[in-house]
Amino acid sequence: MRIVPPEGGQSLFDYDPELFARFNVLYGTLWTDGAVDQATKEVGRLRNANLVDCGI
Amino acid sequence: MSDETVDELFNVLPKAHEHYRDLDAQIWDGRIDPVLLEVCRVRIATLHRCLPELARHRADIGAKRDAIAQWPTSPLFSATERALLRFAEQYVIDAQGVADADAAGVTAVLSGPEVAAFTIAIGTFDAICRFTLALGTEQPRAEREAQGA
Repeated sequence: MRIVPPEGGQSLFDYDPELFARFNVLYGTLWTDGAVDQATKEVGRLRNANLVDCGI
Repeated sequence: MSDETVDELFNVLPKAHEHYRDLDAQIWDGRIDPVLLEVCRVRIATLHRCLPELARHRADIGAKRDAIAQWPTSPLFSATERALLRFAEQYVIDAQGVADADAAGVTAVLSGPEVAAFTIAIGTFDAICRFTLALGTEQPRAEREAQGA
Protein backbone atom coordinates (compact mmCIF):
# COMPACT_ATOMS: atom_id res chain seq x y z
CA MET A 1 0.00 0.00 0.00
CA ARG A 2 1.49 3.33 -1.10
CA ILE A 3 -0.20 5.38 1.59
CA VAL A 4 -0.39 3.86 5.03
CA PRO A 5 -3.82 4.31 6.65
CA PRO A 6 -4.03 6.04 10.02
CA GLU A 7 -3.93 3.85 13.09
CA GLY A 8 -7.17 1.89 13.27
CA GLY A 9 -8.12 2.83 9.72
CA GLN A 10 -8.48 0.67 6.65
CA SER A 11 -7.60 3.06 3.87
CA LEU A 12 -6.10 6.49 3.29
CA PHE A 13 -9.61 7.92 3.29
CA ASP A 14 -9.76 7.29 7.02
CA TYR A 15 -7.49 10.32 7.36
CA ASP A 16 -10.54 12.43 6.51
CA PRO A 17 -13.60 10.43 7.58
CA GLU A 18 -15.90 13.45 7.33
CA LEU A 19 -15.17 14.00 3.64
CA PHE A 20 -15.15 10.28 2.90
CA ALA A 21 -18.60 10.00 4.50
CA ARG A 22 -19.84 12.77 2.20
CA PHE A 23 -18.45 10.91 -0.79
CA ASN A 24 -20.10 7.69 0.34
CA VAL A 25 -23.48 9.38 0.74
CA LEU A 26 -23.29 10.48 -2.90
CA TYR A 27 -21.97 7.09 -4.03
CA GLY A 28 -24.73 5.30 -2.14
CA THR A 29 -27.39 7.58 -3.57
CA LEU A 30 -26.20 6.86 -7.08
CA TRP A 31 -26.58 3.15 -6.33
CA THR A 32 -30.02 3.32 -4.78
CA ASP A 33 -31.65 6.22 -6.62
CA GLY A 34 -32.63 6.62 -10.26
CA ALA A 35 -34.29 4.52 -12.95
CA VAL A 36 -31.48 2.03 -13.63
CA ASP A 37 -31.60 -1.18 -11.58
CA GLN A 38 -28.64 -2.13 -9.39
CA ALA A 39 -27.75 -5.22 -11.42
CA THR A 40 -27.25 -3.09 -14.51
CA LYS A 41 -25.21 -0.59 -12.52
CA GLU A 42 -23.08 -3.46 -11.21
CA VAL A 43 -22.36 -4.62 -14.76
CA GLY A 44 -21.15 -1.11 -15.54
CA ARG A 45 -19.11 -0.93 -12.34
CA LEU A 46 -17.43 -4.26 -13.04
CA ARG A 47 -16.64 -3.31 -16.62
CA ASN A 48 -15.13 -0.05 -15.46
CA ALA A 49 -13.06 -1.83 -12.81
CA ASN A 50 -11.92 -4.30 -15.45
CA LEU A 51 -10.90 -1.55 -17.87
CA VAL A 52 -8.76 0.22 -15.28
CA ASP A 53 -7.49 -3.07 -13.84
CA CYS A 54 -8.84 -2.37 -10.35
CA GLY A 55 -9.36 -5.36 -8.08
CA ILE A 56 -12.22 -3.84 -6.06
CA MET B 1 -19.22 29.51 -14.08
CA SER B 2 -21.18 26.62 -15.37
CA ASP B 3 -23.25 25.54 -12.42
CA GLU B 4 -26.06 25.32 -14.97
CA THR B 5 -24.23 22.48 -16.66
CA VAL B 6 -23.90 20.50 -13.46
CA ASP B 7 -27.52 21.31 -12.60
CA GLU B 8 -28.52 19.96 -15.98
CA LEU B 9 -26.57 16.76 -15.37
CA PHE B 10 -28.27 16.13 -12.07
CA ASN B 11 -31.68 17.38 -13.12
CA VAL B 12 -33.28 13.96 -12.93
CA LEU B 13 -31.50 12.98 -9.70
CA PRO B 14 -32.27 15.71 -7.15
CA LYS B 15 -31.06 13.67 -4.16
CA ALA B 16 -27.75 12.91 -5.87
CA HIS B 17 -27.49 16.57 -6.84
CA GLU B 18 -27.93 17.64 -3.22
CA HIS B 19 -25.29 15.17 -2.04
CA TYR B 20 -22.91 16.23 -4.81
CA ARG B 21 -23.27 19.85 -3.68
CA ASP B 22 -22.54 18.82 -0.08
CA LEU B 23 -19.44 16.93 -1.20
CA ASP B 24 -18.30 19.81 -3.41
CA ALA B 25 -18.74 22.31 -0.57
CA GLN B 26 -16.57 20.22 1.74
CA ILE B 27 -13.89 19.73 -0.89
CA TRP B 28 -13.58 23.52 -1.19
CA ASP B 29 -13.99 24.40 2.50
CA GLY B 30 -10.27 24.94 3.08
CA ARG B 31 -9.26 21.50 4.26
CA ILE B 32 -6.77 21.70 1.41
CA ASP B 33 -5.46 24.89 -0.16
CA PRO B 34 -8.05 25.93 -2.81
CA VAL B 35 -5.26 27.18 -5.07
CA LEU B 36 -3.78 23.70 -5.18
CA LEU B 37 -7.20 22.27 -5.93
CA GLU B 38 -7.94 24.82 -8.63
CA VAL B 39 -4.65 24.25 -10.41
CA CYS B 40 -5.41 20.53 -10.58
CA ARG B 41 -9.08 21.04 -11.49
CA VAL B 42 -8.11 23.30 -14.40
CA ARG B 43 -5.49 20.80 -15.58
CA ILE B 44 -8.02 17.96 -15.46
CA ALA B 45 -10.56 20.02 -17.41
CA THR B 46 -7.86 20.89 -19.94
CA LEU B 47 -6.93 17.26 -20.45
CA HIS B 48 -10.58 16.42 -21.02
CA ARG B 49 -11.10 19.57 -23.13
CA CYS B 50 -14.16 20.15 -20.96
CA LEU B 51 -15.19 23.73 -21.75
CA PRO B 52 -17.88 24.13 -19.06
CA GLU B 53 -15.38 23.16 -16.37
CA LEU B 54 -12.72 25.37 -17.90
CA ALA B 55 -15.15 28.27 -17.71
CA ARG B 56 -15.46 27.88 -13.95
CA HIS B 57 -13.18 29.78 -11.58
CA ARG B 58 -13.18 28.23 -8.12
CA ALA B 59 -10.08 30.04 -6.82
CA ASP B 60 -7.77 32.77 -8.04
CA ILE B 61 -4.72 31.15 -9.61
CA GLY B 62 -3.68 34.18 -11.65
CA ALA B 63 -1.47 33.53 -14.64
CA LYS B 64 -1.29 29.83 -13.86
CA ARG B 65 -4.68 29.37 -15.49
CA ASP B 66 -3.41 30.25 -18.94
CA ALA B 67 -0.06 28.53 -18.38
CA ILE B 68 -1.50 25.28 -17.09
CA ALA B 69 -0.33 23.17 -20.03
CA GLN B 70 3.24 24.35 -19.41
CA TRP B 71 3.29 23.27 -15.75
CA PRO B 72 6.30 20.95 -16.11
CA THR B 73 8.58 23.79 -17.19
CA SER B 74 6.85 27.05 -16.23
CA PRO B 75 8.40 28.88 -13.26
CA LEU B 76 4.89 29.90 -12.20
CA PHE B 77 4.30 26.53 -10.56
CA SER B 78 5.68 25.55 -7.17
CA ALA B 79 7.21 22.19 -6.33
CA THR B 80 4.03 21.27 -4.43
CA GLU B 81 1.85 22.15 -7.40
CA ARG B 82 4.06 20.12 -9.72
CA ALA B 83 3.83 17.07 -7.48
CA LEU B 84 0.04 17.28 -7.36
CA LEU B 85 -0.27 18.03 -11.07
CA ARG B 86 1.93 15.05 -11.92
CA PHE B 87 -0.32 12.76 -9.88
CA ALA B 88 -3.58 14.30 -11.17
CA GLU B 89 -2.47 14.15 -14.78
CA GLN B 90 -1.49 10.50 -14.54
CA TYR B 91 -4.73 9.73 -12.70
CA VAL B 92 -6.77 11.14 -15.60
CA ILE B 93 -4.73 9.70 -18.45
CA ASP B 94 -4.19 6.23 -16.98
CA ALA B 95 -4.86 5.57 -13.29
CA GLN B 96 -3.18 2.17 -13.54
CA GLY B 97 -0.05 4.00 -14.62
CA VAL B 98 0.24 5.99 -11.38
CA ALA B 99 3.69 5.04 -10.12
CA ASP B 100 5.05 4.77 -6.60
CA ALA B 101 7.06 7.90 -7.29
CA ASP B 102 3.91 9.82 -8.25
CA ALA B 103 2.23 8.88 -4.96
CA ALA B 104 5.42 9.56 -3.00
CA GLY B 105 5.54 13.02 -4.54
CA VAL B 106 2.10 13.75 -3.13
CA THR B 107 2.72 12.31 0.32
CA ALA B 108 5.93 14.33 0.54
CA VAL B 109 4.05 17.62 0.30
CA LEU B 110 0.63 16.90 1.85
CA SER B 111 -0.45 15.61 5.25
CA GLY B 112 -2.50 12.41 5.56
CA PRO B 113 -5.84 14.26 5.75
CA GLU B 114 -4.80 16.44 2.82
CA VAL B 115 -3.89 13.38 0.73
CA ALA B 116 -7.32 11.90 1.44
CA ALA B 117 -9.05 15.15 0.51
CA PHE B 118 -6.91 15.63 -2.57
CA THR B 119 -7.63 12.12 -3.84
CA ILE B 120 -11.39 12.52 -3.39
CA ALA B 121 -11.21 15.95 -5.01
CA ILE B 122 -9.42 14.93 -8.19
CA GLY B 123 -11.67 11.89 -8.51
CA THR B 124 -14.67 14.21 -8.31
CA PHE B 125 -13.23 16.73 -10.78
CA ASP B 126 -12.45 13.96 -13.24
CA ALA B 127 -15.94 12.45 -12.87
CA ILE B 128 -17.69 15.77 -13.45
CA CYS B 129 -15.75 16.31 -16.68
CA ARG B 130 -16.59 12.81 -17.83
CA PHE B 131 -20.29 13.27 -16.99
CA THR B 132 -20.36 16.56 -18.81
CA LEU B 133 -18.70 15.25 -21.94
CA ALA B 134 -20.36 11.83 -22.08
CA LEU B 135 -23.87 13.09 -21.47
CA GLY B 136 -23.48 15.76 -24.10
CA THR B 137 -24.32 18.76 -21.99
CA GLU B 138 -21.32 20.46 -23.48
CA GLN B 139 -21.91 22.49 -26.60
CA PRO B 140 -21.15 20.29 -29.61
CA ARG B 141 -17.69 20.78 -31.10
CA ALA B 142 -19.09 21.77 -34.51
CA GLU B 143 -21.07 24.58 -32.90
CA ARG B 144 -18.05 25.77 -30.93
CA GLU B 145 -15.90 25.82 -34.03
CA ALA B 146 -18.58 27.71 -35.94
CA GLN B 147 -18.48 30.33 -33.20
CA GLY B 148 -14.69 30.47 -33.32
CA ALA B 149 -14.25 28.93 -29.85
